[in-house]
Amino acid sequence: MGYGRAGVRKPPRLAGLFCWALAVLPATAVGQGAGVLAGTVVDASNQAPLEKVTVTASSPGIQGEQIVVTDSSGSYRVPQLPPGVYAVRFNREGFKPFVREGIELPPGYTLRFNAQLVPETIAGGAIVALGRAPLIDVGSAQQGGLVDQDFIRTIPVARPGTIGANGRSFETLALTVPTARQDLYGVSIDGTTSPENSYLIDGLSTRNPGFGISGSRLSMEFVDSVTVDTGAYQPEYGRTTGGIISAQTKSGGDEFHGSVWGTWTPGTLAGAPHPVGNLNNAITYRTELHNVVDFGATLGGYIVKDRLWFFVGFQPEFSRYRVNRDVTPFRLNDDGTQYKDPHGRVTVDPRIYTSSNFADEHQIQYFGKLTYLFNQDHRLALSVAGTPAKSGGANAYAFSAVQPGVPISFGTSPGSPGTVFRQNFDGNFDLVLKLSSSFAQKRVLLDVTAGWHHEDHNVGAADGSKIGSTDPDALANQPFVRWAGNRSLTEFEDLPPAVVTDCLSDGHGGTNRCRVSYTTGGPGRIENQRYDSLQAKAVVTFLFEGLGHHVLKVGLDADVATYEHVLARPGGTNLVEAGDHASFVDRPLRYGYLTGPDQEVVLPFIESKSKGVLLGGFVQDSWDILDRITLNVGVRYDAQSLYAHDGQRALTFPDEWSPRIGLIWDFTQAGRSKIYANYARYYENVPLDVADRAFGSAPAVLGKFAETGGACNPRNRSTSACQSRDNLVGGYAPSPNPHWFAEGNVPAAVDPKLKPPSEDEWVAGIEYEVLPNTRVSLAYTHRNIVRWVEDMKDVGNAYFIGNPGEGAGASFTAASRVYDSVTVAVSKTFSDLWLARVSYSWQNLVGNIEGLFRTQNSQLDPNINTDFDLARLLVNRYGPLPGDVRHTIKAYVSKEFVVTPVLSITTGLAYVGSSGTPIEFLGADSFYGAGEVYVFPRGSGGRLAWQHTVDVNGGLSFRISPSAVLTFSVNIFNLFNFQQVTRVSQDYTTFVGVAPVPNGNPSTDRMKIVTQTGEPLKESDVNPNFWRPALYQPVRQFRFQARLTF
Amino acid sequence: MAIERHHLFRLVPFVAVLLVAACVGQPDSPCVIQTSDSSPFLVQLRPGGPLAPGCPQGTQYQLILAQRYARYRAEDPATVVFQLAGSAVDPPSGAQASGKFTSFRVVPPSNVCLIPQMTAATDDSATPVHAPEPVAATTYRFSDVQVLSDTAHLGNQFQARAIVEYGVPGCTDAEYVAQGVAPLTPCIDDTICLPQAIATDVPFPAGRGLGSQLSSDYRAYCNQDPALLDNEALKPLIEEWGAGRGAYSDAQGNPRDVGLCFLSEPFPSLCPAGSTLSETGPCVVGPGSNPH
Repeated sequence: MGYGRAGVRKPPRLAGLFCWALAVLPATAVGQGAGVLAGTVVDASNQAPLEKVTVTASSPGIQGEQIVVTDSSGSYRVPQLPPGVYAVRFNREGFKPFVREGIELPPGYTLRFNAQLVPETIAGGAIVALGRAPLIDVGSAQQGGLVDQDFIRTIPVARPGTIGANGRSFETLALTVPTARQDLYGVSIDGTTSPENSYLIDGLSTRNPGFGISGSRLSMEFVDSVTVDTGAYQPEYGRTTGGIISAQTKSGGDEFHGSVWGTWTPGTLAGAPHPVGNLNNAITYRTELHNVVDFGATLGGYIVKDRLWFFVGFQPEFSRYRVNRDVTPFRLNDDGTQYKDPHGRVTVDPRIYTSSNFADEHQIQYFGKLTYLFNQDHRLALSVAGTPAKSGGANAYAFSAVQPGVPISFGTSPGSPGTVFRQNFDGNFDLVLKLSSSFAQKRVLLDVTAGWHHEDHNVGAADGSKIGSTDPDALANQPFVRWAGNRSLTEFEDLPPAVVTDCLSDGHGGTNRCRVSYTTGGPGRIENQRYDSLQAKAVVTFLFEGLGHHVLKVGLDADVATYEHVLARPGGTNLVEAGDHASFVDRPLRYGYLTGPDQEVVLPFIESKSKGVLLGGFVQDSWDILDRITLNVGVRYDAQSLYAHDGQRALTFPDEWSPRIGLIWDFTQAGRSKIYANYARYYENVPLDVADRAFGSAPAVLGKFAETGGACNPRNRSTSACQSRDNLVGGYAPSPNPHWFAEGNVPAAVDPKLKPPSEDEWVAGIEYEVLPNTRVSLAYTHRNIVRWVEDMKDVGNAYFIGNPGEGAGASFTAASRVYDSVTVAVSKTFSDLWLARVSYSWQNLVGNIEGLFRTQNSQLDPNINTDFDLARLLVNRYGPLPGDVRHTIKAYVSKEFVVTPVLSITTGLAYVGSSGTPIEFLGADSFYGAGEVYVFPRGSGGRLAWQHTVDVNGGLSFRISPSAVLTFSVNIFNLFNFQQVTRVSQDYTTFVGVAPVPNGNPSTDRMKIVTQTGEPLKESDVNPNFWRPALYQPVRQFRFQARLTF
Repeated sequence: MAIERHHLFRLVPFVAVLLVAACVGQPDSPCVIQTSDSSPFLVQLRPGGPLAPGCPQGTQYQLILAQRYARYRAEDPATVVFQLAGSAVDPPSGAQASGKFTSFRVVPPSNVCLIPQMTAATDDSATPVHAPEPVAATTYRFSDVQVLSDTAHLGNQFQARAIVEYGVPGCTDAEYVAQGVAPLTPCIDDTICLPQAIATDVPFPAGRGLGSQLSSDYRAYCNQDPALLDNEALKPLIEEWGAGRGAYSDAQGNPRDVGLCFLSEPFPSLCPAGSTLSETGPCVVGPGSNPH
C-alpha cells in the first residue's frame, strides 16, 4: 500500500510559501527514487489517440525540462524524474496546448494521467488544468509508505530516547508505516528483525556490513523524503528479508534556499521515570533526560543556473542523560531474615542514598551534494555525508553504537567507574556518485551508482587507555571482576556514615540489607571495529511496445565489504567470584589457546579481518498488457561469499534465485485505483559477524584462580592480582589439562549442502482514491521463512553451520517464522492545509526464530545466535514470537491555520496504540546461561497490556520577508505520560540450569520444574525479578525548536 | 578521514574469485576430536584375532578423555592427546597418548582424519581390564587412528588399532580393534539409543524428553556388556554418568541395569547409503535387527 505526497498547494500564503518551498526542495532521484509520469493523449473531439504530441515536464526540482513524444497509441512516458511538483504541457500542431500543473510525484512512483487535446478549431486558449492530481502508484504492487517534509514538519517524530532519535536520523521515520514497530536494534517491518532491513541513502547501502543494523546517521534536515518499502519489491531490489528504508537527500536549485534551526529537549520538563528495581541488588536505577540539543544550517542553490547545483548542511548535536543510582536496601524482618510480601516476593525499602553520573554524547553531522546536468539526457550527482561522534568519558556512561541514542543500556549493574564508564568514538562516512543518462529519445535509460560506505566504532576504557597500552595501571590492563552477589555495598564504596549504619543494621555485615553483585577493575571489553563497503550498480532500461508497453530493466550490482575487528578483554580476562569467596573463574573467556596439556598461550587481543563479496543481477519487465493491466515479472540472481581472516573461505551462497511476479489492474484506468497481487522470494544478505566469530576468531582458555586476598580485594580498583598464575587451581579443567579449559580454536564446520537463508512473500490488496487526495486501502501480507542458516551442535562440543531441519542439521527442527497481516488504511495527502493517515493492522507472527537477534538475551550475532545451538534447547520453542503485536492502530493528523497573511499556526497529532507482546517463561541452561531454556511453551506467560502514546505538535510561523519564514514549535511526546510496562524480566532462573516441561502450562505445571540434573529447585534458585517490570514507556518530553527558512 | 586504499584494492580479486568459490563450494570440515569438556569416549577393544592364553580374553573397555591442541590461526595439523580416565593428570603423566593428524582438514572425498601413530599411554590407576586375575599397569599403543570428522559427526567416533601390554606372564602385545564413541549416553534398553526424543515423563535413562544426544545417522544399541558393567575399575567412572548395575529404579521400585549407548556397526557406524532410520528400530537395512 502506498501513500502519496501533498496535492495542490497554492503559493504563497505564509504557510503556503513555507509548504511550497519545502515541497520544491527536490531530491536528485536517479535509480531508486526516480519517478515516472505516464499516460495517453487523445483527441477531445473523437477520443482518437494522438501520436507525436510533445509532452514537456518541468519542475523547479529539475535542471531544464524533460521532453518526450507520444507514440502511435497516444501513450507517453517521462522517466527518471526526481520527486517534486511538476507541470506537464502537451503540444501538437492543430491543437490547443494543454497544461496540467501541481502534480506531485513521490520518489519511485509511476503516476498515470491522461490528457485530451482540443482542436484549434474550437474557440479558447490554452487549457490549464488544476485540481486533482493522481495519487496511486499504478506501476507496481510495492507496499510501504512515504514520509516527506510535510509530514516531518507537522507531525511529532523522532521521539528522544529511541534508536537514532538523538540526531533525528532518517530511519526513525520508518516507525510511521502501519506494519513497522520498534525492536531492539531498530525498526522491525512485517515481523522481521531490523538487521534484516536494507538501509539506503541516495541508493547507497548504509547497512552495517558486520551486523546488519543501520550504519549511518543522517539528519532529517538533509533529507527530502524517506520511502519505507515493506513488500512486493521488484527484482532490482534484493538482499533483504526485511524492509527497505531509503532516504532521498535534498539538492540545490535555481533559487537559493536554506534554513537555520535550533532544537532543545530539556529534561526539566520531562516526566518522572518509573524506577526499575533489580531484586538481586540493593541498587535501583533511574535514568532521566537532562538535555538534548541540536542546531544547524543548510544552504542550497546554484553555481551555474540550470547546470550545476549545490546543497550543504551541518548539524552538531549534544545529548545528556542523568543516571541516578539509588541505594534501596532489602527489607528485612525484625529477626534480620529476608522479608517477603504476601506473594512471597522479596521487597526493598525506599532509597536511602542517591548518586548520579551523566551519559553524554556529542556528534556532528555534515552533508554536501553537487548536481550537474550535462544536457537534457545526462545528469551526474555527487553526495558526501558523515557523522563523527563521541560518547562517555572518565566519569560518564557511553551510548551504545548498536543502539545509538538509547539510554536503556545505562545503569544495569553497579560497579566502579572503570567498569561502568567508557569512552566511545564512532563515525560513518558515505560517498555516492550517480549518473543518469537517456538515449534514443528516452527509450533507453542508463542509471549507474557507485559509492563507498565506511564506519568506525571504538570502545575504549574510561581513562582513555587503548588496546596495547603498556601502562600496568591503565584500565585497559585491569581485568573486569564480578564479585559474588552475597557481598555488601559497604565492602566496595565509601558511603555516608548514615548509609553504612543502615546497611550494617542487618547484623550480617550488610550482606542481607545492602547486598550487591558489584564489579571492579577494567571495562571488560574494549574493541575497534572498522567497516568498509564498496558498491556499484548499473541498470539499463528499455522502453518498447509489444501488445502494450514494456519497461524492461536489466541490471548488475556488486558489493565488496570488509570488517576489521580488534577485540580485547582488558587485563586478559573477565573474572567471576565464586559464592564462597574462595576462587575466581574466567568467564566468559580469556583469549588464548593450548599448544599441549596445560601449555597455554594467552593472547592480549584478537585481530581479524573478514570480507564479503556480493554479486547480483536481475532482469524484469513491467508490461502494460494492451494498456489495461500491468504484469511485473522478473528474476534476480545473487551470489555471496564470506571470507574469514587471511582470506580463508567461510561460507558461499552461489545460487540465490529470486523470482518475482505481480499483477496490477487500475480499474478506473485513470490512475485512481489498483487491485494487485504479488509473489516474491527474498534472500538475506548475511552479515560478516559469522565470518568474524565462527571461524577461529574466538579462541579461549578458562582457568580457576584461588582467592588469596591481599591486593585482590573489593576496595582495590586494580584487579591484576586476582589472576596470578601461581594461584591456578588444579583439577578444575577436564583431563588431560589439569588447569585450563580450552575452546574455540577451531573453525566451524560448514554443511556441504548449505543453502542460503530465504523467505517467501505473498501480498494482495486494493487501493482506491475515494475523494480528492484521499485514498483507502486494504492489504494482506504473508511472509514465511523458507530456510535459515544457523550454527548447531549435534553432539559433543564442535559447532557446524547449516540449515536447521535439513542436511547436516536434519536432526534439528526446521527454522520457522510465519507472518500474516491485514491492514486497512485511509490516507489524505497534505492538501488544503491538512493531512491524515489512519491505519489498523492485525498481525500474527509465530515461529521458533525471531531473525538475526534474540530479544531474550539481546544477542546480536546474525546467523550464529544460540537459537539452534543445542537440540535440547529446542523444546517448547515454537509459538508467538516477541514481535507478535496482534493489533496496531496508528493515526497521524495535522492542520495548518492561516491567521493572517504573515502568521499561521500548525497543529499535529500522532496516536499509536498497540496490543501487548507475548511474555515468556524462560530458564537458564547450565552451559549456556540465562534466557536459553523455554521452560514452558513460547508465549505461555500471557501478554503485556496495551500501550498508548499520544504525541502533539504545535507551531507558530511568521513571514518576516517575502522569502523568509520564522517558526517556533513545540513537540510534546507522550502527552499524558502513560507509563505502561513495555518489558518484564522473563528469567525464572538465571544461574541454575532447568529442564523444560514439554507442552506444559505455567498455571498448573510449575511443580514439575526440575534442574537439568533432575533435582527439585530450591527457593534460592528462583530469580526474584521474575515477571517484574524491567522497562516502562518513555516519559513525557518536550522538544522546542526555532527555525528560519529562506 | 584517511582512506586506506590498499585494503580496498586488495578486495578486487575477490570479485573474480567469487565465481570460482561458488563452484568449489563450502570449506572442508576441520579435523577435530570430541573433547573431554563434554564427555569422555567409551572405547571398546575387540580382539583382532585369537589372544595368547595368558592374556585377558574377550572384549575390553576403557574410558578416554581427549583434547585437541593447535596453534592459533595456523592450518597446521592439530595434535590430539588421549588421557586414560582415572589416571593422574597433573603433572602430565605417562597416562597420556599423543599423536598428530596428518592434515588440518578432511581430504575429500573422505570424511575421515588420520593419526598414524600415538605415543604409548600407561594406566596408572586401577586398570579396567576384565579378567579373572588382576593385571599390572596396562599400556596402550594406538595407531592408525581414524576419526570421523564430517559436518554432522565432528570427531565423535573413531577407530584404531590398539596394542595392549598387560604386564602378565604369557601375554605380550595383545592386538585389538578399538572403537570409540562419545558422548556417553546412559540407557536401560535400545530404544533410548534411538536419535528421536522419547516423549515420556520418566527421566533419564529410561526416557529422554529433551532431545537426542546422538546423531541421527547412528545405528546404536544399549551396551550392557558385563565386561563393561562389572568392571571394578570402570564402575566409579561410569557411575558418574548414571550407568551401572541396578543404577535405575523403575516405577515399581525394581532396580534396572543402566548401560551406555554404543554403535552396533563397525566404524564409521553410519546408516549405510540408501538406508533410513525406522521409527522403532535402527537403520532399515534388510531385516531390522541389531547384529551385535
